[in-house]
Amino acid sequence: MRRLAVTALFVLFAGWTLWHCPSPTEVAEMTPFYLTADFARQTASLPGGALTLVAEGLTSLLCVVWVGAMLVITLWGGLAWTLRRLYHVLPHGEWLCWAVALLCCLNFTQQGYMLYVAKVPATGLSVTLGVGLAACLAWSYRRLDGKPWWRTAWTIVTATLGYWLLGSYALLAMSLALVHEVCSVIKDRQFRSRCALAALLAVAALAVPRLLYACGLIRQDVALLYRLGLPDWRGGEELALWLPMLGCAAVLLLMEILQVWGFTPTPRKRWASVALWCVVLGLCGWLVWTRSAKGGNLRCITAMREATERCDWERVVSLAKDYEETPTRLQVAYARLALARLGRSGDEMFDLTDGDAPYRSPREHQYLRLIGGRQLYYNFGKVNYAYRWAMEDLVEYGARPDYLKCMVKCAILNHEPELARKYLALLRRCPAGRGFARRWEKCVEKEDTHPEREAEMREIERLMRYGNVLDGDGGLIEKYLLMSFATMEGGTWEMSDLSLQACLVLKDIDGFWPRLLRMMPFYVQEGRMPTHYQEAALLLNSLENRNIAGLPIEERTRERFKQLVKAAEANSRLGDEYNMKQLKPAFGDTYWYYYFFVKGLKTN
Amino acid sequence: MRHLKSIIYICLLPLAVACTPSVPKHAQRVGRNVSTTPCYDDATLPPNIAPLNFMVDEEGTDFVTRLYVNGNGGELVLRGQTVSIPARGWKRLMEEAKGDTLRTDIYMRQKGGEWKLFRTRLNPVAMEEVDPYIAYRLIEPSYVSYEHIQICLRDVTSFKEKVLVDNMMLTEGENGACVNCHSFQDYNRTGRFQAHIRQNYGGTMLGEGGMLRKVNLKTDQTLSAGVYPAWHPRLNLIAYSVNETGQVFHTRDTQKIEVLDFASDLILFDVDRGDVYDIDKRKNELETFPAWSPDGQWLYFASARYEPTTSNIDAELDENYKQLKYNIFRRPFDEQTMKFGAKDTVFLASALGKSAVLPRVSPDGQWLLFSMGDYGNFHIWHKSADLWVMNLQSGEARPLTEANSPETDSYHSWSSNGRWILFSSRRNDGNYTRLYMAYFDSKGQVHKAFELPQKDPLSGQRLLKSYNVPEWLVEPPEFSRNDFTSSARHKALQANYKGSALLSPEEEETGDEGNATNLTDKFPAPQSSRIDY
Repeated sequence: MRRLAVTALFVLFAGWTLWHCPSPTEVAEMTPFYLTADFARQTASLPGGALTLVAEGLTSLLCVVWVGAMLVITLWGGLAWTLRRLYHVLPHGEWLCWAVALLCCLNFTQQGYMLYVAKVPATGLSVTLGVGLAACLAWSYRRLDGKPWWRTAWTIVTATLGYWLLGSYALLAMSLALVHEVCSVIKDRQFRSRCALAALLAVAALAVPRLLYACGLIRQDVALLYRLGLPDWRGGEELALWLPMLGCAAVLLLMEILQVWGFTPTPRKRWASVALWCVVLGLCGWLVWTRSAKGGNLRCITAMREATERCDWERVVSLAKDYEETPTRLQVAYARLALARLGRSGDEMFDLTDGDAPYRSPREHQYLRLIGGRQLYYNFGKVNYAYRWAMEDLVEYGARPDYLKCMVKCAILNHEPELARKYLALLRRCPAGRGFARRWEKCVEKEDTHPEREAEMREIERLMRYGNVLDGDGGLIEKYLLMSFATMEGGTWEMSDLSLQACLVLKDIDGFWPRLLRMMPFYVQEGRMPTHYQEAALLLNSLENRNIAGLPIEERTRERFKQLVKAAEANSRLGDEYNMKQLKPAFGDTYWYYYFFVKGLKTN
Repeated sequence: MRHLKSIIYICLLPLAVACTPSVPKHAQRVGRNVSTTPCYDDATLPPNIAPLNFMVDEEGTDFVTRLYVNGNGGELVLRGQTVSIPARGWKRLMEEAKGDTLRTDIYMRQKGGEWKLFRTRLNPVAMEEVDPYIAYRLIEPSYVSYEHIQICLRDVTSFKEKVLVDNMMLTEGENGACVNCHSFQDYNRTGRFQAHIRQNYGGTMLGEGGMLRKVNLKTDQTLSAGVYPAWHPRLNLIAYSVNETGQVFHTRDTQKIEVLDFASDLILFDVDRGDVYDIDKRKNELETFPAWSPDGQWLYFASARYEPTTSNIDAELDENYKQLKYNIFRRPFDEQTMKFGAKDTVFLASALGKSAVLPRVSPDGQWLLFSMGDYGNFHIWHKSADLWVMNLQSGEARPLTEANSPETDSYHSWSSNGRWILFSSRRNDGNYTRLYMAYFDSKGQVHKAFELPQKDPLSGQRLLKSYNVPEWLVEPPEFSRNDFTSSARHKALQANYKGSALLSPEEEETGDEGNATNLTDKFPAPQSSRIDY
């Protein structure tokens, strides 16, 4: 009964943590897994590759959120139950097993931005599988007690085949076996056979990887031999990411020692036992809760990314409006894209909070480019650049389904159907890409008439009416897009509108004015000009005495501008800092406020 | 034990007989070619090529394929939409087909329907064999980034592929090492090899008889370390281009990238002495892609003239990149004095409004094969790039229409008997290069090109890598990838600059030695953090 209650509590806690983390579908999108012999062969061609392959397969099932969530929670719970069965000093020490499960949960939920920059895929689950399999291997070693030749055979098989399949987790299993032998030597004083076995274990664990490398079987840097299959976290700020992995290994080693000595790790007194449970699991639970990448800007960014993928622009705008902290540049870029698509940029783009909050990641990177660059380029009609960055990232991080999906759409827009078919053929064999492939295959076959293509690509095609030039973006997507639109001449109505917006954002008055005048007949005909353009026109009239007679500027805007001038004159001696705070409530949604007070934002 | 084996065979025999496919007796003829992946229609084949496995791209439920030479000889009958031809049967059939024609009949039917027979596929089989090995680099068709690069050796008579060099053995984390420009002397008959490593553990790897060493070819007087290599056919000499290269991106053009040389020269490296000599160092001349004639008496190369009108050559070339037209030249080489003579124009592509690069002289010295596109030198990214051949005796040049495609066809090499050409082409999907080979007959006619056969006919479609710099070899290299890796970790030996290798350097229109260096100092190449050659 108690066991079931603990399991239920764990399931609830893990589910609650997952719920607060960025969407599991995002994890599936960033995990390459294809049901092809070539992919399997390539992944399994390195030590630890087979384990990674299985972890990738399971991770890719996260594309169906509920299935994925249930799967990972079952894996963690299953690990705790398995450990309890494998170590017979338990169940009195069951709390150790749940501590391992919680640490594996943390290993999954702590990924955050590292999901995008980690080059070893599916580490969220490979640690769970690796730790579980290492414990099983160590258990099988213990079962061979009194059979030294069988243990020798076990050592050879684990060091070779086990290392090839599980990578460093096989070495962990050998370390557990070594600890078992050493403890047994100390306890039972059986020096001869046990010392020989311990020596064999140590030598095999150290020498076999090097031997395989020397034979030319391992095509990896020799420095990585003892960490193949493990996550690729580095030192510095990333050191803390090793905590779950090392914690699991430490608990397994502790259980191995306790196993030999026959200690029960729980005090006999009930209150002490309860206190121990509470302290250890409370500590692990606290670690999971505090160190998980829940909430914050990543959750909002992934939600915006998903909404952008669905072209659900209203949702993107509402996410931007609901976000209460300072946004990152990527959030701002997504919101501006959505407003542009909704045709509301001219009225609302400066109403949304601006900012350049840092991405809460232990590894510095161009996250705007890495997470949203492809989508921004694609949706703004810069299809070659979208394709380019999808390709560059594919090279760096593997054939993630998200990259291939972007490449399919770019190929369709560029009228490269054979190329689109190539990527679709792969996506068809990927759980996270199958649905996408089914939908877009039809578009490739009926290139110009398919409704799905029409709905998504019609607007993008209207942004692609520009000539070819040679240039480069230096990885600074937002800056490139702004500069590109701000210096653009002519094009469709949508392109001209984007051009005006870019000039406003860049505070490029000289660029804004002639473009506004070119659009004027349209606004006069409509009888209305977007609010921010009115604001900019009034500002230009005030600053540079530009003639705004005949421009459809509303009385309300004129009135607000007068109020701003009056307030600014009244506070003129109090400095920018004071004015910024003072004027924000009344004018924070205007271009004037942006023009005078939003400064020094850094894109990335 | 022996009896047990026999019993098993006897038991399995009826099963084997029952499973052996037979050719349908009655079939309705379809008056068109069957669609297959890859397409091998009408291609002339070498007699020692690996089985041409393929997949039938037709909608049906049952498929039978019959391969035969003529009605009386042997035949292979296979069932299934994916046709995997057994190696032994294929070899026997190809032996029979030598100098004749291999015929392939493909039958197809819907479930319970009538069999249909497509038009017989005819593949003439040449008498001349192809070199047994190809060395190539596998790399994604990316632009700036690279991660996993392999130089591989493929046995073209089977499907065996061996990794010769793997850059992941050299690198850890962000310290990438790009491996490129592999080259073997005289089809690896001499066992001499070279390849470059850029960035981490940078240098040029030189191998001979399985021994490898690393050299730094960059000297104060040369533009860069050696780039595009050309082994002298016998002597231990390598001609290189030295290039200041940059990459810029097309905003709309589906060619996507433009690789430009802002400056380039030619150098000669004496491998035994470790000495570097200038060959061509003319101001405003962009010399590149050297290649020796098979007798070693001529050095061919491509060169374009560009005179900057402003001080910002990279910005200028971003605008005027289509004006870069490369022509093919050559210089005589005296093996005794180790000196080059005066430059001689071989093919003036600019007169046709085109740009010709990658000259390669056939082993008999009669033909010059090159890649011709509309502009520029990096034809591997130019859709206009096609293979051309020039008769060096008559001076007549023509495109190899039978081998070319509307997509990029470039980076070619001759087999050692001069009867097969190997090249990389983006014709499958416009982006990923695949290896194609074509028969070049004694009359100078090229036959239809066909894709290098793979064990899984769809693996080429799924592979997200390009085949890069394919080279024929008659012998496999002697070094192992571990040898390469351990040698690459050693410190590079510094090459010594020894002045000009020209017979009359003063007669040449060379700039002073500082010019090229100053040029690149002033105008750093944009977007050129990592360049793949």
